[in-house]
Amino acid sequence: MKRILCIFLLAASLGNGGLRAQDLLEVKRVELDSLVHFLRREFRPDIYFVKDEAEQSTFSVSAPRDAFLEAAFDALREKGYIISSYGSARFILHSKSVFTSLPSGWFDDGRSLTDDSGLQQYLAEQSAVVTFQNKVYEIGDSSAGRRGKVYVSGHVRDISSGEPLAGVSVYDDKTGAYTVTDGAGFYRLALPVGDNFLNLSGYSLDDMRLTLKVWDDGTLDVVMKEKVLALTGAVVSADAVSHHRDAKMGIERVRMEVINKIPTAFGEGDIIKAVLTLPGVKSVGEASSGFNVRGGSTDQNLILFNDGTIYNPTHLFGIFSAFNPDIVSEVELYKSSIPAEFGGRISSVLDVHSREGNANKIAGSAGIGLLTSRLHLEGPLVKGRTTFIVGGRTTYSNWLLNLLPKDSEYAGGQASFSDINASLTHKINEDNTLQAYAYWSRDGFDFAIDPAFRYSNLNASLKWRSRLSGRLNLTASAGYDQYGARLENSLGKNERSGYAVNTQIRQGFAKLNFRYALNDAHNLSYGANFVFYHLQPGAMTPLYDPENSLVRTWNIDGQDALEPAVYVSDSWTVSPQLTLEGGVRVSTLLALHPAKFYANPEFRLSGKYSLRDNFSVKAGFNTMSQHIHLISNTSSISPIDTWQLSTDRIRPQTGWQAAAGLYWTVAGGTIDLTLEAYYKRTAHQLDYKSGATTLMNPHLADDLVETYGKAYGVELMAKKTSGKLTGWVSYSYARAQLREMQDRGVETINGGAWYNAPHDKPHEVKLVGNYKFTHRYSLSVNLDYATGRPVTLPIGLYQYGGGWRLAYSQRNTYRIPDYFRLDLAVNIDPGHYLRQFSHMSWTIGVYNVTARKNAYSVFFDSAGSHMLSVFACPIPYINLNLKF
Amino acid sequence: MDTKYLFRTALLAASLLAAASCIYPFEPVLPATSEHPLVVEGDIHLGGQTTLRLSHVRSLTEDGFAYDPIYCQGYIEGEDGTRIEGNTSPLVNGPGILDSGYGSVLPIGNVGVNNLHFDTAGLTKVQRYRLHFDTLSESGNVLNTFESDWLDPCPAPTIDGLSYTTHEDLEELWIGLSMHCNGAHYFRWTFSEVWEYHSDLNSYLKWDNIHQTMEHYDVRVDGYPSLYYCWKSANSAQINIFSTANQKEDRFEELAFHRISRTDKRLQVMYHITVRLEAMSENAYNYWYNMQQVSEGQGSLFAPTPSEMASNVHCLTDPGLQVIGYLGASVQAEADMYYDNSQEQFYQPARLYARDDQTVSAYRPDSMRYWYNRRYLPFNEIYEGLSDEPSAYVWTPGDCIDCRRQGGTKTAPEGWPTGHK
Repeated sequence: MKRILCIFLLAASLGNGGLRAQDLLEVKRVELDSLVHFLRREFRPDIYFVKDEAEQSTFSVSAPRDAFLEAAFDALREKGYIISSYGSARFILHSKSVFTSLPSGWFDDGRSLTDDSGLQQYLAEQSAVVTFQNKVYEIGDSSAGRRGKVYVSGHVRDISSGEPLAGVSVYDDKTGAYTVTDGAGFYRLALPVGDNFLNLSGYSLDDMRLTLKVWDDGTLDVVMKEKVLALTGAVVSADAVSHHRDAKMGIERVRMEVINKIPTAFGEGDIIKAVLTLPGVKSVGEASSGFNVRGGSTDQNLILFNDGTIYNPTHLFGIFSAFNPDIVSEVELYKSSIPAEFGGRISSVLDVHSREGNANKIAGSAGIGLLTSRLHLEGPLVKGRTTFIVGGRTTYSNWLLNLLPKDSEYAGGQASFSDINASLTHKINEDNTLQAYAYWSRDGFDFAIDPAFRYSNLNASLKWRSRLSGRLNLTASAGYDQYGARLENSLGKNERSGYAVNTQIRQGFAKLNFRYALNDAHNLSYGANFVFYHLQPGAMTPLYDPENSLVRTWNIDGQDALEPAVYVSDSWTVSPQLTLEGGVRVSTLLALHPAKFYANPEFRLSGKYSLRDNFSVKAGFNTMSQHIHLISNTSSISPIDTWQLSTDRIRPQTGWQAAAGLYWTVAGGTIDLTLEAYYKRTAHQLDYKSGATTLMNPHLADDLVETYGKAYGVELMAKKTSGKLTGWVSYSYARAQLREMQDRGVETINGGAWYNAPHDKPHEVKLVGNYKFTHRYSLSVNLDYATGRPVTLPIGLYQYGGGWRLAYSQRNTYRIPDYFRLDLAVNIDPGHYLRQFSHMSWTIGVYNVTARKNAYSVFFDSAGSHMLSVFACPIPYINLNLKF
Repeated sequence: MDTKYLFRTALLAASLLAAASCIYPFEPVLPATSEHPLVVEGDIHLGGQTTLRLSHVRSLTEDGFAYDPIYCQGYIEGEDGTRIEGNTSPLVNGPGILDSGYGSVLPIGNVGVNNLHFDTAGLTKVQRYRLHFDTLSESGNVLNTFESDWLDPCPAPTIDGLSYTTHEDLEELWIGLSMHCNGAHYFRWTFSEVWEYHSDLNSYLKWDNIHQTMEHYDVRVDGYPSLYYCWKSANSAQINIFSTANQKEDRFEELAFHRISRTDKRLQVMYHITVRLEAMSENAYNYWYNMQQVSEGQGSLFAPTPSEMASNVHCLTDPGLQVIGYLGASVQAEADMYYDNSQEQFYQPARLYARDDQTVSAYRPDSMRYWYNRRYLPFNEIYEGLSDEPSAYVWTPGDCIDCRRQGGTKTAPEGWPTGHK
């Protein structure tokens, strides 16, 4: 209050017209920010400061106008502040100075711009990065006498939190050298000795163009800041860079900032729902677990969360994703060119990275929604060395279920979930970082009487990143994943026969990955993966007192297997226009008891040729194999579906995909147009025989059939990543069909002909848009149209066993009505009051604005034909997020 | 924002959501089909009587139900050569030979229509049996021969009892079955139920519409049928199966298989249930389980994708012909149980209602005839002054008085314990 009063008096005294040089100016007992505010207004706008919260000095300055500035600086110096100059700008920091030029060899000593110079904080608050883009950075000693190319490497971090930024494109215009930062924000690039321009571009980050004088191998750590202004000038989007530099195709990167703006049923940022807005990704319906990528089934996606495998990526059976939006930094989906370091699934890899936590201060956030609440905390444990991030979510949806109509099968039920993420990152030294990570989730759903479902994920991992030399990097990780599901069926509270069935997957894994810059044209990636599986396909126990129960305690024989794999891949920059990538992965499985060994060599090939700077052509070919299979006879993944390893009777699934694409960047680099076409074949994909029993079936292999799969399609996409309007619109035509591999006579599915896969939805139009009215207010829209999915409809009716029964014929020959949904949301972001303790943001939206009754399934019973619609009405929601 | 307002917004949104997730009527354009697979239903009851019913699957796109007689004849044979000819019912009265007109003939003699009946009282569990039959379908004009796989007779289960439990919280009465059986793991049972109920009002007035007179009567004295008590029956329409394959013993106790709401008229006076239980093979169980899933378990998020399983009856003349149904050879066990509401008092009337009564002058037979023709019935009399003759009658909607209008009959099962008429 005192401060406000002082400023008020000052303003009043100055309000009487212009002042002369000798007029006396006076401020009394004002704090630093008020003093600077005054100096900026009266003297020069380019005065920047970082307030030391521990320093609570007030300042009184009285001097003529022409001497006031220096007098004020003197007063600051008396209190321990250091005034640094760079050009015309003045920087005020307590006990610290700003390096306005870097000494020669600065980076060679392993130091970075994130050192305690206060610069980072300064940059965060003052948006002055552009100043440093104009500076020339020297790397190495000019006397080193190196010729040809040298290696520049480093980490890219967020300017305000100090967290590593993954997926940032780092490239050199002149040579065409290109790389993308990894999960630790690390990059390495071969640059010619001499003058270079290093470009950095990341989604929702301000582009950077650094001028380098490179003499020798060295490091350059860079800080980037979030794009806060609606840029109108020509900028090169991160996607455009990736399209025209990277040989890989079919890669989608989405940052949490974008995901949080996509409207969802209950307003919480949802990774799986965001992935579903991308072309080529489908699901069988709303509120269904899992997703299908380019015609693949749900079990053909490898979902990694910090290297750990997530077997069930959803909560409440698909309504929420298993990933806490506050913890995740970025999601990468590989749907075509899958790097050789990934394997084990034949359709796609969804690689989710969690954040490391704010390196500078304790921060956090809290979110409150209609059904869920969440809280997370992050910050440094040891300044500059150790950071942590921990977050949790819980739900309170039981009250909602109690509102359901009494005749609904969900009425009187109970549903809940919780999850906890925790991560600890420790920087051993400049070259070595350790990260420990843990994730736990629990879901429960009880129908009014029977049955009850439970499932739980547990992941823990330890990762070591090391820069072994200027050219060689190592990432090693080891961990443990566990997924368990439980079905409880009380059989009408029958204490004698009520039973429970548990299924479980436990796996330990170790991964070793080396990245080696062989020379300026070849970047090698090689390593080994090792997974040990222990599967319990089913264990039955009495639900009630075992002494009194008739239920036998027994289990299906557990499955154990080792899955070692080795791989090597090379990215070869033939010329600035032509880049080729090739890789080989030898994926093996040693199934134990009975012993069976499978080995599958897999090939990954892709190439890019840039016809012009903004127009490229790519093609790729992949082969994949998969040793673990989800056995399900339901359209949507159910918690009691069982996972099976390949055995002597269940062969590994194999598949190949050929794809080609055109990439054109228009509108000054702000709009990316892509066209990708693919053709894919799979074999030994498992389907079930009619009437198959998947639960507690010791002879499950007898109930399964192997199928061929084929999928083909074209995906068109226009994406705008900068400006007031951002988002993408896509159209895809895609088919996915299956055919039984063996002839079983009349029992062969659909007579041995090709039949539609459950997720075969040929036409899809998707639109995701965000229009920023101001820095704070934006409108998000999400539109989804798709052809209805195939279902099996009855051909007739007959009486049997006292009731009317339905006769079914060919599988998946009919389609449910087409799907259409429009969602709208208004996002109110916090104001840019840096000194405010907390920042509140709101999301107010409506899911399914047009109230279309989209069919999840159609079915028949004695009363006629019906349609189940999961979200048949507009669902308004409001979500409050608090950051502090 | 006001907390109260926030809460109301949340509640509104939630209510909308609650209404949002629903099942709606849906009329798909179904594909027309010419497939009408043969349905064979029934089991060979060892030591009892066997009736097999034949029908064709009806197309869902057909309007109405066309009578589709399937002429059939057949036999059951044992591994030792035992042969039991079908003793069909009803027998066909017609020419000596059934001629399809296309050269296919079915010799007359024990030819049935849609039913094959066998006297299997003499069959025992010591050997396997199979069914062999020919059909001549009028619609198909084709003579086909069918044969089942060899059927292993299943052991006879023993019903240990039927029981009921009342659940106040769920407002339901559950009927449980207890049984044991050595050597069989899969069971199926059907039930039939009979119950006595009464109308809402008991009237001792009877309007004679021919003579235009009102009569008093006493059921016991006059022998008029009361319109107050009725009996109704039903058979189980749901599939009831159970597997003890995961149990230590082949038995179960008080397994709830039938749930009756406490407001159901079944429980109003007296309820009787008869259960017929038989053991079956694992394949038969899987067949019934699949049928249960695809016809009763559809509509939920995790409903299995529907599919048809192969029957154990095959067409020898056209192996590609689809047959529906799974035949078994078993011994039936039977048990029954009563529920008497006069003892339990668990029944609760479902509704409170307002009647649209009419007071009609006793001297206006034309008015009474009018209301009679509008399905009203006399319920009460109104006297004025000291007169012994009623001056008016109260007529009430007939549904409240005549129990038959709720679907029941006045025929009590033989030996029905309440003695009501």
